[in-house]
Amino acid sequence: MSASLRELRGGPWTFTWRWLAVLAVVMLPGAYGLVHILFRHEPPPMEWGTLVPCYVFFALAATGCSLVNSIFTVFGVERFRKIAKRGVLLSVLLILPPLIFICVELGKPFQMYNLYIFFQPHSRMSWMGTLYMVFLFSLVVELVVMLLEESLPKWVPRVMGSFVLLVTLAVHTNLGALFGSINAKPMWSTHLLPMHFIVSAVMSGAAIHILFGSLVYIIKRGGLPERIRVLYSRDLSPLVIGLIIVNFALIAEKIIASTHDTGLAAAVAQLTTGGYAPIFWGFEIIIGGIVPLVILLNPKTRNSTRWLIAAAAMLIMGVFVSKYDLVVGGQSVAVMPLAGTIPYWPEFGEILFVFTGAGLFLMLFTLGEILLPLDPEEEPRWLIFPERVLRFLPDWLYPARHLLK
Amino acid sequence: MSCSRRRFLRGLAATTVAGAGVSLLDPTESQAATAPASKYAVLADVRRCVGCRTCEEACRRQNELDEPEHGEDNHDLSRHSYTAVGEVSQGVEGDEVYSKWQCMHCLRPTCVTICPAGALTKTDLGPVEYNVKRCIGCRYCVIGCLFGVPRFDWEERKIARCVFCPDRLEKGIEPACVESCPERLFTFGERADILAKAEEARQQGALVYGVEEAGGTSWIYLSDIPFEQRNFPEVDHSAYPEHSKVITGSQLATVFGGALALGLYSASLMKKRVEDVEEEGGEP
Repeated sequence: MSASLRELRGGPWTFTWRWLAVLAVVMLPGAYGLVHILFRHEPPPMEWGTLVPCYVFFALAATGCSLVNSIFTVFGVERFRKIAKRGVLLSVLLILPPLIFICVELGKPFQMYNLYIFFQPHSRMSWMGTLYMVFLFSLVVELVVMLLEESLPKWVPRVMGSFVLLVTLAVHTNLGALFGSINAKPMWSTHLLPMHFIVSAVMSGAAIHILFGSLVYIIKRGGLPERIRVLYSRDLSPLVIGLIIVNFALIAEKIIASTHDTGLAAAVAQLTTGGYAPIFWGFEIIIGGIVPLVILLNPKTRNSTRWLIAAAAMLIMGVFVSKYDLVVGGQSVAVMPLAGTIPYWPEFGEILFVFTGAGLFLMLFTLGEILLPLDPEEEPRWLIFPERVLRFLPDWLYPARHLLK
Repeated sequence: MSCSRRRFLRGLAATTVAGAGVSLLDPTESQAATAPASKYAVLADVRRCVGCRTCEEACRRQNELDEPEHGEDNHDLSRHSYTAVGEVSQGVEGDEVYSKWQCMHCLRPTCVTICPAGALTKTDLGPVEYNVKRCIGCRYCVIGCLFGVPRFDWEERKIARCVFCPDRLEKGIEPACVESCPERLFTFGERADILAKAEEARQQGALVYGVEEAGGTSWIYLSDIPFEQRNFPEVDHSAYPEHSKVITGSQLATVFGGALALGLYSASLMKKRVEDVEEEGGEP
């Protein structure tokens, strides 16, 4: 890692292009996955397979980043300005893979337009399709507003931030309710699921801010600036600590509730003692929860960049596994009582396609870091591409031209 | 800092107003109020089922379905079996027990309420009808069905489930499976009459399934052993809209609570900053 970083400091384009090439190689096999999923003739092993938990994970990461951004954009904590633009970019880019995942996962993707033509106000999935589109477009506008912040009236970013916060809360609680309202799946059927989704979202959003912010600073500048490290360790860490504890409380509530509900007991048993127990206890609880909690509670490790990065990475993995456990584990107990449990292992094509989605996000984020001035003191050299393009823009696009100054 | 405080309060006010807006969007309220009357119903006395599967064959003929493929479990619902008969457990006297499953055609069906494209509709006669041209293949109905009935046919890319023979019902004729049963297990008729017969059977000691389950269904079953042993799931008596209302309330509380918690956390960060600066002897 350190050798690559030293090399980067000597020649960023070399490193960047190598990195982009690696991502392209990771993404290419996904074409097989895409064909496999789109043109399947046999039922998948489980009705909603791996792409759905991946969709939920990426969507909650995007909304989480957006909610963390609101600390600056809505509530005006000035020192979060340093990470706000990157946060909005992360939100925009994190919401792209899940939209692709869910389109591909549809059994009739070429009729997806019916979702909008025949909008059903009583269907949460209808709202989901609509709100995620509003979320994406409002984030793109917010990104432009944030980049042009200095040339716009002060109320514009505030109003935009408030609108995005509203959409973010609405879209993600709706996703929680989409699962939580399904009585046929006892693992999902809880009125606490919208809250659980928001808790997971903010937790993963803060972790993604810490992980990607730290890595970008290390790669670009060779280290994390002190003020950013303080922001992560003193301002974001307490939030994450609190949310990990709330998350554990919500998991405990589900386990306790299962002692009074036979349907839920069968589903929870799949997690605690059944086929999902190794990933539940190992990755969701210990590596994805307890270890990051210990790291963040200890002032010595909390103030170390390496430990912060490690804690953030483990948290992100823990949140991903928790959504896998919820979505896939939640379907593992059949509705009909004599049908028992449904075995599941992700299909090879699905795994490849998930890598493509993740690679797409990383590739676009890398390009965003190169092309956009995301740090307050960013030098114009990061505007190489926009400068070439924006030179041809008409005069009435003044704000865009202002970016060049 | 006073500017930031104003901004914080404005942010909180904005989210509160917006949250109130979201509260108007109880997605299931209208559906709960407009549940259609279901004219016809079937009483299925599966205590006398001998497992001849004549009903399966009649259903296949009526809906022009292929025979189950080699190796396929033909005792389960599938794209080849909109109705399925299977041996499930031992009866009270140790004899073989069979059961029949198909779409229950709920009075207020979860699948109809949750379908995002309006591909499923409940008709006044009783059937839940499916419009394949509208379906987007999300399989939310497969996931959400309380009885685990619908299957997605990946070959033809459509939902596969009992259609309750709507063409026959329009003419007042009983469904094909009902007509075909050699043991005459089924009684087809107007729902009010079927409910009366079910109540009569209940008073004579039969267990009844479908009168109250999921808010009531168009297929009502009689049994002599618990329905779990007949592979029928235990289902709440409330329909989806009632359950969903609770979730909507929780959703609203989360919108308000989430905004409030973020606001309070932000306020604590502002306060911490002021204290830090004061400790260092500088200006906030």
